[in-house]
Amino acid sequence: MTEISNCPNCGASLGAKLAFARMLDCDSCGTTILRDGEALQAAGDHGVMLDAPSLMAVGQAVMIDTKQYTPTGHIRFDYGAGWWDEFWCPASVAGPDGVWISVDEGDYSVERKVSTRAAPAVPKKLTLGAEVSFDGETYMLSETDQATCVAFRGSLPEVIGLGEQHYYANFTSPKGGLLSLEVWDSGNAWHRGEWIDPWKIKAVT
Amino acid sequence: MSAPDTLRSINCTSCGAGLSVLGGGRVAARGCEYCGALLDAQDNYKILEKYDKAPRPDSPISLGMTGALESVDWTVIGTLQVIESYAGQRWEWVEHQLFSPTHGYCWIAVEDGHFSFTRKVRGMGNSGWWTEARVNRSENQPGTYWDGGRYKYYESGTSQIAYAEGSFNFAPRRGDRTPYVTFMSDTHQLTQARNGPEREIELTSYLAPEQVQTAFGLETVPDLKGVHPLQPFAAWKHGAFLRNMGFLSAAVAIFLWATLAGGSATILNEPNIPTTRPIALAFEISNARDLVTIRMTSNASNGWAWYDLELVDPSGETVVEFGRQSEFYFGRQDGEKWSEGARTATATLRLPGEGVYTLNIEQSEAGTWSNGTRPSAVSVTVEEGVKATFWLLVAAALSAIAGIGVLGRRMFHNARRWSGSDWSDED
Repeated sequence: MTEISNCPNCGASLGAKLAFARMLDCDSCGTTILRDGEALQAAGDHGVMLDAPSLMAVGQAVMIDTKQYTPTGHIRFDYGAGWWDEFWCPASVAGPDGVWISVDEGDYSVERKVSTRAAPAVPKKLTLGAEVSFDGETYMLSETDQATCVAFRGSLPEVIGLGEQHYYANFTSPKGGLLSLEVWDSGNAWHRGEWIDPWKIKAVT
Repeated sequence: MSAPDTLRSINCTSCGAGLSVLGGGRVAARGCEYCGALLDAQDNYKILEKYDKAPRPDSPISLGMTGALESVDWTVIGTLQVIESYAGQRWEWVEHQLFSPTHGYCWIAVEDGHFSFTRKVRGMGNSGWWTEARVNRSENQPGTYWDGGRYKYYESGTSQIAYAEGSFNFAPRRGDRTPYVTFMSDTHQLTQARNGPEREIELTSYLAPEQVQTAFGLETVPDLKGVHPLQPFAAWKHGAFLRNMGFLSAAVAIFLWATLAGGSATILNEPNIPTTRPIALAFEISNARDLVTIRMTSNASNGWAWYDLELVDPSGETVVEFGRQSEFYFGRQDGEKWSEGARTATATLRLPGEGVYTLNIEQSEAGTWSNGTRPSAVSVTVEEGVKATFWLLVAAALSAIAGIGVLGRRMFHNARRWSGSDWSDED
């Protein structure tokens, strides 16, 4: 344990983003730091993030239609045949609210967490065709699999472990609405997705 | 995204041929270009279907080619031949699946030498989901608004996969059928298609052949046949200028014609002068700025006459000598009346100055036909203040034709773009 605002490995200042991040990389030495209450601890390896062409990158602001997003954190999930990326974009650099931008081979979506009260019940069987009702629409399960967290970078609003297994299930509505469910050992979370046309993602220079 | 440098080729689990691995992690199937088998890319390339080997569809694009389109770098990963049949007619085209690490999976289609680019989008348009049956029930041409653009119904039908080779983000089995309804704007087609349980929305735009040729480094591209529904209008470089100048010139010419026409005056009118002797007629010119028209009308009836004319100026000098013929024939053949020739001959001149001129007329030759009579008299009129407005009318007509031609080309092009639509207001 070390002083709250400094890297436990090199002592460099971690800045304002520490206030709401649960995990972050030290800009100075690259150590992954886990925030545990009032204390910080080095969290070890943050995995190998293979370089790949992408429209999104940590620290690179993008405009999508009229909104600007600046990813501060990046998680990569491996599903065997390939991977997809999740970018955490806080509403402000030091704010607790934000969105995830999911990037899967040209499929981009902005995902907002569904509150526990509004979340639909998790179907007993997560099989293709399973239905859930949400916000007046029926969503059908169109894809389900499991993926492993293989790397993460930057600052993240939640703790994730390298090698952690996540079961996911993607639901779509007839009108094109997206709803995704993540299930892990200790819980689950629903996110409502909004598809993004990749041609409308413009880097802010 | 697929992990790089882990797998670049496989052996077909049906025929053993070496196959390249193209595309990303979402590739679902690989069609063997050697034996036609469809392999499961998500399950160790197990055989999904075996097919008889079929001839590869003709296309200038082939697997593995790379090129930049729509500002994105693409690799050609798959080739489909798609067919559609209706009422004894058959259409076929080739679709190549493209992959980009940043923009995913799209399509480039080749049909009749034309190229188009198709990508999946979300949102089916404000008028909801359409089927061929719903179109058939519609009394008016269906339409929809999508992403701020207005689209009108173009066509509907069911396409069918006839051939597949390469990698795809779905499993394209031969015979798979896709019902679709297509709407069209000035620049894009919006297609609602049902692939199995999936409803998909696709947006298609036209690619200029030279753009594709440059992007993929093609040596040649096929000759174009007909007009593609999305083919942009090839405006002439100065078409708008020509159109505007055409209509402006026509307007100016008509204005000048209306201003100048009229204002002439008859200064001599001598009817039925016997032509048995030479004729001398005097008339006074008071307007030498404009033209003078001499008009002679004989009493020819199934006959003709040739007149030698001489015009003498006020000082007694011959201004001009010329000849004119008057003739008129008529009769009845097979119960129909006919006539030909012109009794009236005219000459329009510009005279050197004002004063009293003398017109000498001599009927030098004459003849008859059938039961006709030789012309024996001529009526002469002389008009001064005549203006040559005929050419202004010609100029107005030619200018208007130029303007209409430019407009007409665009209208004709649009008509050809929509000629393939299966919508008819008479249905």
